[in-house]
Amino acid sequence: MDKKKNSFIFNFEMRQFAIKILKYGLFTMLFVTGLFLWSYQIIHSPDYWNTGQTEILFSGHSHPECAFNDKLISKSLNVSKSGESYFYTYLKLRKILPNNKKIKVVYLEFGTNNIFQVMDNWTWGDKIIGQNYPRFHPLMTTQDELFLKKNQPQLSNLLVPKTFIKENVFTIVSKVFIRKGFRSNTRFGGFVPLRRVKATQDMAEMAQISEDSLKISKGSLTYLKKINRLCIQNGKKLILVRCPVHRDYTHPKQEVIFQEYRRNYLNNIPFLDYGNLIEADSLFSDKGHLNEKGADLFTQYFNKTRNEMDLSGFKIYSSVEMELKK
Amino acid sequence: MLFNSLDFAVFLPLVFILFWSFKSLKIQNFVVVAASYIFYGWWDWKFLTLILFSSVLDYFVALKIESTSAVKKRKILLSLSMLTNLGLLGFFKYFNFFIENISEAFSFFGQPIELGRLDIILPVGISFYTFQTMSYTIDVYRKQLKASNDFIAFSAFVSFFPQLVAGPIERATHLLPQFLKKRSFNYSLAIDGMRQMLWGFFKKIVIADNCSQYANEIFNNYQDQNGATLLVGALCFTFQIYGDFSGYSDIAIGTARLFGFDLKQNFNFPYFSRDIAEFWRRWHISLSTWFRDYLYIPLGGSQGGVFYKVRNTFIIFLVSGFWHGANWTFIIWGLLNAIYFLPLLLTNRNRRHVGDIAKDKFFPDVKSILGMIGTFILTVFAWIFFRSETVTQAFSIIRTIISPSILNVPELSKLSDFYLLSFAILFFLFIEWQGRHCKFALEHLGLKWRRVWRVSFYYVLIFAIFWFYGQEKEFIYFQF
Repeated sequence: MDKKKNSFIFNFEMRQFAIKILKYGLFTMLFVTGLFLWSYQIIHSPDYWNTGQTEILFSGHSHPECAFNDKLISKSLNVSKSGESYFYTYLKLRKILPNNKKIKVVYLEFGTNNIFQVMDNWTWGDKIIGQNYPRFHPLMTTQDELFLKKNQPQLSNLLVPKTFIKENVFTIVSKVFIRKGFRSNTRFGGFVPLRRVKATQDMAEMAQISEDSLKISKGSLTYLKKINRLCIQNGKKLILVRCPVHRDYTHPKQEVIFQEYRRNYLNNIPFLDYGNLIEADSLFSDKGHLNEKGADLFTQYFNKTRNEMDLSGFKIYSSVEMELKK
Repeated sequence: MLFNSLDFAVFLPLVFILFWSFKSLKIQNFVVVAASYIFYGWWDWKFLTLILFSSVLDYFVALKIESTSAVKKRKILLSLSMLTNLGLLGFFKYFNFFIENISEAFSFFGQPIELGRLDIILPVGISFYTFQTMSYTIDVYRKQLKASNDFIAFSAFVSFFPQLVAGPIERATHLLPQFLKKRSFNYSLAIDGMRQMLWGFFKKIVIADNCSQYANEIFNNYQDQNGATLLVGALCFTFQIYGDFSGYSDIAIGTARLFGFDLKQNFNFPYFSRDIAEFWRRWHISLSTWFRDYLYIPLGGSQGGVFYKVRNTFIIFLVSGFWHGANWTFIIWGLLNAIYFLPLLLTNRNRRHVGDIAKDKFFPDVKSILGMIGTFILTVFAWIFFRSETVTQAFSIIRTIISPSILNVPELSKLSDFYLLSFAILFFLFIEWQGRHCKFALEHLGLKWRRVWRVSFYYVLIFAIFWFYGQEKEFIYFQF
């Protein structure tokens, strides 16, 4: 018996320890599974994606997120989220559009960076996928998963703990306690007013353009086309919009490729180009984003002119301030 | 392999089961060596040769020292071991630093020379295991320890995975005998270890990793920040480095306990210190005592006249600063601490606070509070040098902090996250304060509570760890 005392199987203390650890492990697993199932059930209920009286939807990445103050346009909702590529926008719209008959038009950001390879990093890059995969995983079909897996071999490792609990708790809280569904879960987007003014400082460092940053994204066009198809299927009008950016934001080389790309592949989708609309540095938070004041001015201007814009061309206004004074 | 990775979550139970499956001490030690080599090789297997080389060298040198009575020969053997170990450390860690500084010195005197930098990767934890093996050889030389004739046990001592890459730096006199005596699984020790690991993970994932986001953002863009924001950055780094390093030590000590080993306490609630001398008795204890025993005392310690006291103090703090990295910022950090410490030493007040803080009561007296605040401010100030990339950056940050912009509102991104983090820091400080008389904050906390409360408390910590768990971030001290 003495000989057996130290061995793993026969040691009483070891068994006691193993049982204790198993109990804790089991309870934790049950808790996490329960959380997941509850959140999964919520995220798949049409009620969660209800946008109420919304008729106009703004979506895309941080440019529209900081540019469209949806409080200033009645029956509008901004669901843009910084760092969101078309892949994730598509997953979100696939839930929103079929469940909201009142939505008539979807304004989707289409800026220069949307066509370049940076978007692939925003889709499956190491940094962004760790946040987005646990968040969007419940909205994905096998096909979406395969698309990601093809480019991100580490995908299956990401789901287990990384921000997993946080995502599920946010879903549950936004539904059960705030009762506004995804609209109260800022992780799925919303207008973000920026207060700083930094465009003047950033201007000094006009970016050197590398060959890599001129490569076209593999995934962007595929999912932009899917978004277009989704809108057609659900009877919504899709309009591409380029939000105002600072005059130093876009490199001329990028602009040429961007325009050519749009003409070649997206000529059938209306495009509103507000890219060069605003000149004043004081209305920018940085080169790519309007600040709060800029966003308010732009939103008012957008609301006033959106139906009058020449949807087929590149109508550029030299000064939004001038227009607003009229 | 990082403690805060999924790899380790799989690795640890496997090694645990394997280790306790064997009754034989030799096989258990072999499991430790194999596991440690896998653990270390997970980063870069090529650097395993360095550990193996260090182990082989010191094993045979120590045996030789023991078998020789000639003083001169013993000294030569010791020098061989020291020079080789320090040579490796110097090459990997300090080569480029010296090259750069020599080039700059020549340029300064109008004689520019071209000295090529080497593209060297610093092996993880080299400063830790080098010091550990050196302590063994020195102890054998001093006849304080018998040389081991069990190579597997000795290798296990050198490479013991819980403390291999970031300490605590163990002494052979303390750890090596534990590899030579029969072990049996101890339930209380293991449960204690699990609690210490839990607290270590909380410190690392909840406190350190989240503080690091703000500290990095602020220090990396220091030119654009106002004084108040930079102060918040310095405070964030203060908690980051403590949470990170003491968290690692807690996880290491806790993990070792699962295998029946006792490692030294490395941190003793340093931010509750009432003066800098007490801070240094509580911060990175295994390194401070290493320097004390193998450098400070051989130099004469605090014996002798004022000159020797001042000289020895400066030497030990400068070496300590340099140990942390090949950068002038670390040297100035060490120098600053020497300046803080000297007045206490010279006025014989360096051992005023050796007892517990606020013993037998919850609140400290006003004098202790003032002492703690003063020491904390000095420490935060010194950490600015430690965290900065260059000395110029550190001075620029300090200049801005002491400018009128300190009265501005800090400009922080993700304010709601910052409030949550501030709450977590307060909770952390409260738990640390109430556990300040123990080896780690959770050692006795909750043991007398009703089971349901105790278990709920542990789940709050587990939940917080999962809640804050983001990307796996390396421990700061890996780079040292």
